[in-house]
Amino acid sequence: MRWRGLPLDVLLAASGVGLDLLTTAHAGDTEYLPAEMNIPMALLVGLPMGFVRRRPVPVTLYLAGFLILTDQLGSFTANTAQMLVCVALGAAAYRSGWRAVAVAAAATTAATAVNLVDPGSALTTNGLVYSVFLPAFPVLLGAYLRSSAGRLEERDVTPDALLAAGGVAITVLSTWTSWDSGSQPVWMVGLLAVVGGLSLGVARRLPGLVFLAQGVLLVVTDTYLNDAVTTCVILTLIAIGVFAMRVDSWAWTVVAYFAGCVLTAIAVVGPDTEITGLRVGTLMTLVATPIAIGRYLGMRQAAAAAERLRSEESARAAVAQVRADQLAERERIARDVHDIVAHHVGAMVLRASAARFTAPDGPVAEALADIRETGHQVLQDLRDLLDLMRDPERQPDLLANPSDVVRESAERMAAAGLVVDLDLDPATDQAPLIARASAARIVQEGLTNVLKHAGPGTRVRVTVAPSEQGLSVQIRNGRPPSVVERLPSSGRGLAGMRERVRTLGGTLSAGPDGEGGWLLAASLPSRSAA
Amino acid sequence: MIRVLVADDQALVRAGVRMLLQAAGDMEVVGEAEDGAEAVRLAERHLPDVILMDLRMPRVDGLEAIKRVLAARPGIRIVVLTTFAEDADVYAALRAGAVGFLVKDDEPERMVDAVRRAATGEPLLAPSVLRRVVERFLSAEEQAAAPPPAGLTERELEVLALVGTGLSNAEIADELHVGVTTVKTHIGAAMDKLGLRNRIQAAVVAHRTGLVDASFRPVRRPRPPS
Repeated sequence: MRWRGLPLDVLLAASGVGLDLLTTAHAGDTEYLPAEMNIPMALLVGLPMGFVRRRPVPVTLYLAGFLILTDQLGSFTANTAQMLVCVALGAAAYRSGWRAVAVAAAATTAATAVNLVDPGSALTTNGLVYSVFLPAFPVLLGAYLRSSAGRLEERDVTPDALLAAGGVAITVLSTWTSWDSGSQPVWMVGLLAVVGGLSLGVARRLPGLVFLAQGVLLVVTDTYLNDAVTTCVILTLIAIGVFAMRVDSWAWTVVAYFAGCVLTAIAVVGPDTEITGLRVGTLMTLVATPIAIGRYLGMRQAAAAAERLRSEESARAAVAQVRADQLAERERIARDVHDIVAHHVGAMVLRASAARFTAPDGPVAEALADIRETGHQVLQDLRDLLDLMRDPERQPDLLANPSDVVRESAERMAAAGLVVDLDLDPATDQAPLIARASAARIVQEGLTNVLKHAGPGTRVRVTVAPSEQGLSVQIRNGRPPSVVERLPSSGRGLAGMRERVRTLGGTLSAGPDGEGGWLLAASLPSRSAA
Repeated sequence: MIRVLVADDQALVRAGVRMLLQAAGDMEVVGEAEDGAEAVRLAERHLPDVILMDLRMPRVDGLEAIKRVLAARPGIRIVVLTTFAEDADVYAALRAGAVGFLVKDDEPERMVDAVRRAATGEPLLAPSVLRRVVERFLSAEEQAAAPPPAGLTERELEVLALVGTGLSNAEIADELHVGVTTVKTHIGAAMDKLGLRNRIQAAVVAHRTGLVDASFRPVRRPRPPS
């Protein structure tokens, strides 16, 4: 979603200019610049902000250059340029490619370093650290917004951390120059930096409270710590922005706006300040900026959340529809099998039963008994099959031919490194479906266990064959080729197999085969105990 | 001779049943119906003792035919012929008044025996099957225990409870030290008073009214003060 609309650009430019007018309001002549240059300087630093959305990298480079220039001139506009260059860098990180961002970040870092190191004072480690970290925050913030602006998660604390860090950075940076020279001790300024800045970290969650706290801080600072008033104004404006973003009520937003205007006025209007229409307008515009941005972001977020909810909903509905279709189709097949196949097989069995009942003993009676037996078996299988198909929890792949499952499983394990020797007696196809399916599961599970416990290279012999009882499954593996690193095992596999076999009325045993290997043997009755 | 009517849309089944019953010696097939409507017609014409009725038939199905036959001739015993005992339709048929059901791949001896039992009003279902049927009935209908049926004598309640356990008439007679005829009289009286059609319904009533507990044992009830 692209930001549209000239008004926002105009607003940004006006805010840039207004910010500089505010910070330089009390400044008089400096070494190189007369006081009349305040307004042109404000225009020079502020107006480019109108392009920051479309051309963030050039604007960042321009502001970095301007920052160095104003710093050399000793103009107070340097403070404004320092703040705006960070904003521009953030916009660049949000919109531009990483190469351009790297260039912009490097320029910003250099300019910040020049700005922080006052002429005459040595370049300290602190100064270096700040000049690197300060541009890092907008870059991170911009990159973060770029990656997930549309899906800020409630539980995600990254924006909070960025806000808190940004708050501390702003506070430290903007009060940097007066830490030694101010009217209050350094620890007090430090406390302001930590408390004021950190409080932004919870602004998203407690917007009203943080706004209130910033307001109180502003008033207190205005009285006792004049050097940090501008910093507090910025923090308050940020708090207003967050408030407007998070509080979904126009009434409260208006309240916050006027409170912000009053607070800012308290901060900037001194006993000898002349109140002009232009100044009032500038101030009101300044306060409106964070509200507009906050409101916009809030709406965007709400729209994104609604969109996300809608897409999740439709995805769920689609999945449910597919599932319902599947089940309906299965039910239809089941009904056909039942009505057509089973119905006829039932009739055939009954007919054969009756014929066998009346026929004298002999080959014919035997043939009829065979037909009856087979038909009976088919009906049992059909019943199992219908149960499978009508169970909504059942995965469709369980309907695969169990022999295929066994073969596939052996192949897969061979690919994983086992030396599998599969002996699958074709006569097993006569066993009931449920027994064959269980045998297939046991082979799967057993081979997995061999791979887990004995490792690749182990020789395994899998035998599935009819037995007196029904179906016999044997998985015998030889001695592991080497001392293997054991793969993690839940131990649930064997218990699950045992349970399955027990339900069917069969037996399962597992243990050393006496020759250094392991034998897993299961016997499945041809008829379920139930 | 037990007179049997077979209703099944499949000729295979009809031929099979005819062959089986004729071989048994003491029963004969008096008619074969291909669908429910014909079954109702033939039941009127031949007045059989027992009808073996398939449920899946074209036009008028077995369930509907059972209702119509019993509405006109409540004395006819109808045994359901089904492919799978688990079908919901089987339970609906039992509720409609069928005395029991046979699965088509049952042993032939069991089929013959079932027709004989149905003709004499003996329980058709083994206690284990009866248990399943009763559970299906009770889960399908309200689970709440109804008050003991009113208007029945002590002896009738006692007999009803034993029907609920799945015992045959002879076994009940043994248990109560009375003759089989006496048992039949009591059962008939109890079913008449309660408006029941068959022993399965009687068994269900015995369960629902607490005459039989969940493990199919008759509940010893304190005798009311006289």
